[in-house]
Amino acid sequence: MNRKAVGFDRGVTLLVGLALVAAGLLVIAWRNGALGADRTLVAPTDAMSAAWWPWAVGGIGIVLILLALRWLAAHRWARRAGRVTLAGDAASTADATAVASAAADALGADPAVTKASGTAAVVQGRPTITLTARVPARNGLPAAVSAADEAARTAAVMLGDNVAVRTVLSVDTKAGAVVR
Amino acid sequence: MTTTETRAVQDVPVRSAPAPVAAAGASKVAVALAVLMAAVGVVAVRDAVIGLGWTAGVTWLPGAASAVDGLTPQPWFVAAGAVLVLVGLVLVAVAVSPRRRTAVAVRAQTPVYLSVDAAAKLATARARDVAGVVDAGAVASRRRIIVRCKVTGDEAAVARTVTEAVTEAMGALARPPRTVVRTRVEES
Repeated sequence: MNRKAVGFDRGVTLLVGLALVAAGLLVIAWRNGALGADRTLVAPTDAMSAAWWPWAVGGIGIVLILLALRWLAAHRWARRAGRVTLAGDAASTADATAVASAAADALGADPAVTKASGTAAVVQGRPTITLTARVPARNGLPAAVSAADEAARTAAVMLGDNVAVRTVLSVDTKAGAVVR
Repeated sequence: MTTTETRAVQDVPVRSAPAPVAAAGASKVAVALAVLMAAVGVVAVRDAVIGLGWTAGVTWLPGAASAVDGLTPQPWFVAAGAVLVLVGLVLVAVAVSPRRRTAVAVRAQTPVYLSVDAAAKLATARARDVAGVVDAGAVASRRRIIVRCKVTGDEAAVARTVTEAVTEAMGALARPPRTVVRTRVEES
């Protein structure tokens, strides 16, 4: 899901919210006689019995379904970063996913980390490697942080400045203390 | 002659990625709206298929239209209108609210984050290690961490020790949250 999709979601949510507020105020105003006091609601029942009605409603229905599917499709996971151009060498590319997984393997091999995984996705328009590591709850953080620093640097050495790196730590309550 | 530039791994700059954030509230509303839109589309296509005589059945849209045709203001409109306004205001608030950050930054040389849940687990584990604590649990936000402990013995002293231990553990974070410790004496 990219920024444009989130912006669109925000815009539509704002419009629907404002429309609901307007509809609510309208209904209350109608009830209090401030607006169309002696009017009644008229539904287009004549149009519904016309010969063209099923075609029109069917067409609108298909358009609504297609638009809804397109809109849902915009909410997939963040776009994967596949091959990225290496800094300082426009002719060479590297597989960011493979580097992410190699860095995660190196991080997972550290005794301060119980489990690690790595993904490469486009975040805010930039290929980004996210390493996710589980650390034991007891005394694990400082040792895990230095392991994470090392893994992030290794990934940065391989891919250069074009790729952003971050490590997200979660805590494993079942694992024991780190013994060094 | 070619020169090869080599740099120690420690000196390599790491481009920092932004802190992880949760999905925008508006995106959840959008998924619900998209499903609703698809449902309306399916009803419309169903009515069209029946209206064209391709299959037997009763159309729904003309029925719904005749139900509201000739509607005059009703007493319940005030309550319904108030609910609509309220839901609308909530949606407006959701649309403009920023995405929630799910992790806090850790003191490190490269961008390292600790999920907020993990901070709570860390505090729980640290509190459980304190002598006199029978059981502990913690809830965390980015700014505050509340640790609830069942203790035995000197309640005030144990609370002080737990506060120190948790504060020390949170010292690894770039902006340590405020630690609040609530204790309850375990009945023996």
